[in-house]
Amino acid sequence: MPDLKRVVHIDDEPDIREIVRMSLALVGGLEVEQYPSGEEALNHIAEAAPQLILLDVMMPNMDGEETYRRIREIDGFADIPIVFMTAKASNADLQKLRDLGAFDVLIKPFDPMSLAEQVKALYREAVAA
Amino acid sequence: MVDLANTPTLLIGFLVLAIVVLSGAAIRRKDQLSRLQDKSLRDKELEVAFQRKALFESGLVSVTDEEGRIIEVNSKFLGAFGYRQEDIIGKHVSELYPEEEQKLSREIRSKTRGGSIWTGETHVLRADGSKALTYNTIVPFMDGNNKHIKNLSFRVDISRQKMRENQKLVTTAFDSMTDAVVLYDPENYQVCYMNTFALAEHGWDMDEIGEKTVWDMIYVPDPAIIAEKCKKIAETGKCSARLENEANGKVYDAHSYRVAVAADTYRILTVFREVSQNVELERERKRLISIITHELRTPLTSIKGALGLLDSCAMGPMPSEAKNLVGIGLRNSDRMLDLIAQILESEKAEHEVRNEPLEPINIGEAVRAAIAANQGYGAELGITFQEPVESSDLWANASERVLDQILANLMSNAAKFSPEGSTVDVWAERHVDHVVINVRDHGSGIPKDLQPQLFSRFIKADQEVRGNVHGSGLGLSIVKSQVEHLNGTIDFETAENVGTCFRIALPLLEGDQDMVERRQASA
Repeated sequence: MPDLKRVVHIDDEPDIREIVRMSLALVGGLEVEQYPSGEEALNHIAEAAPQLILLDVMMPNMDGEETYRRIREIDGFADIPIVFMTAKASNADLQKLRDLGAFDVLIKPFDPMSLAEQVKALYREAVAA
Repeated sequence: MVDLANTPTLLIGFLVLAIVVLSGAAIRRKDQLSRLQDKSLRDKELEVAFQRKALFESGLVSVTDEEGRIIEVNSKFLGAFGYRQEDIIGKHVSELYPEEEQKLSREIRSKTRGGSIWTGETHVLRADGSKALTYNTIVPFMDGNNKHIKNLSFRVDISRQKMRENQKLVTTAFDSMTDAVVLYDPENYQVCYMNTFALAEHGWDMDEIGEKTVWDMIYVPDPAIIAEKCKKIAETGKCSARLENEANGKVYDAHSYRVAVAADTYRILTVFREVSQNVELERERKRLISIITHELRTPLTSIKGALGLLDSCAMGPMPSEAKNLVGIGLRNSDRMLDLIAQILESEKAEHEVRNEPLEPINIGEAVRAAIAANQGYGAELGITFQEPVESSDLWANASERVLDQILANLMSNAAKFSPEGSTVDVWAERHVDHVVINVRDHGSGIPKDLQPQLFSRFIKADQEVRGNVHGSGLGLSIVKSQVEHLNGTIDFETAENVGTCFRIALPLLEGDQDMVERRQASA
């Protein structure tokens, strides 16, 4: 079973991008490619060749749901696990994202010390499935 | 020549003659007088008979003796109240008065026995048990010694007049409303009445409504809904619903009631209130809360994340003072997150409560179930929940789920604020037409400055917490909205170092015994 090495993270909040980068790279030892918008991600994500994508939901212009649909249209990205990260934690919100096809949803705020472990566990689960 | 020797004899004779003549005249005069007196008496009798006839022909007349027993009634009285002569004669007049006017009946008799005339409105019990409203004049008859002999009661039936006045009053009241009021026949859905507001909304005249059915009204989006609601009204007597008419984009709250018009016939009275603006405001409020909570969580994610990384020393070792400061930042981030979670919980609870249907619930049983369910929680805090007096079987319209939540909330609060080893009393009792549920602790009482805003949201956010118990204070605001959903009220009594007793009053359900029995049978 391949280990998780490369993760793409898409979020419009620079502070959250920084925390996630530190959590995944410094604490978890992962390679992290980050984009501040859906549009930016769609332009470069193919080159990044991620094994898992962390995607914010509420972003200006192209929101997380639209970005999700567009990523799925890219060749080779149909089955890559995409995990949403959201502060909107109502059951209805979570169900909506799962119905869209998200592999899982992580609730903000997250624990920066265990984020990398959570993401690795989700990847193992996705590969096993 | 006159023989003077015979003068005395002549004088006597003359006198006798004069007496005879005068006596005859006096007798004739007396006869004449007597005839005149007889005529006057006859005239008077005729006049009395005439007046009596007029009285008996124009009103509902009854005569009672000095004891109050009915000794005479006219045919109009019999016809108006449905009695037969043989049934009514000999009855005591108090039997004609309904229960609630027995006192008035005694007062009238007391007044007329003293010789005073009484006038006023009284009801008369008809032979079929129904009540007629009359305007009543009671004249007492006294003998030469001023002793009361009998009463003559002259009544005019004003039931119809009063009903017309009441109908006019009701119509005026309906017409002054800014909600639409509609009366219709559940058999054919034909409209019988619409108030001015409803007519104006449709641009109809009163003359036109005979041709209209409820389907023609702008309030009804779907005929199937009305048919279903009519079925419910037939079963339970009332029904409430929110109707959204997509065609005009308006939302109405409709409250319907069964109105009996005869023993086996009824109409449905529905009050339609437009709540489109309220619904839109409610949606906007929810959207705002969602945005606020999201917008707060996002910067908190950064703050908590940054502090968490520092606290874990992932960036290298930190002096202990710096670590203390990071700890303060983390704890307060958690408090803010807790507050956001409580806002969402409050919204969720209110949403759930609004959608919870009400049904007859045995409140005594609910209290005992809550005591059993929360005993474990109490034990953790060293508190015993008990029912000091057995809550008798009192029924109220409620939701088991909402009632459980209310009691669990109040009981856990009471336990938290009670000294270890003490008891918390929970019981239900009847208070006039309400069921009152009491939750009483023996704690330190609620500080005076907190009391006025106890049911407000976030009371503790800027207040010192009591004892060592922390919380956002949302619990009681949720409890209040839950109690209000059950059409009840909540209040409390508190005394320093004695304790606090919360009381929930719910309308007692005893009128609709059938429903209670059905519920008991199904249980």
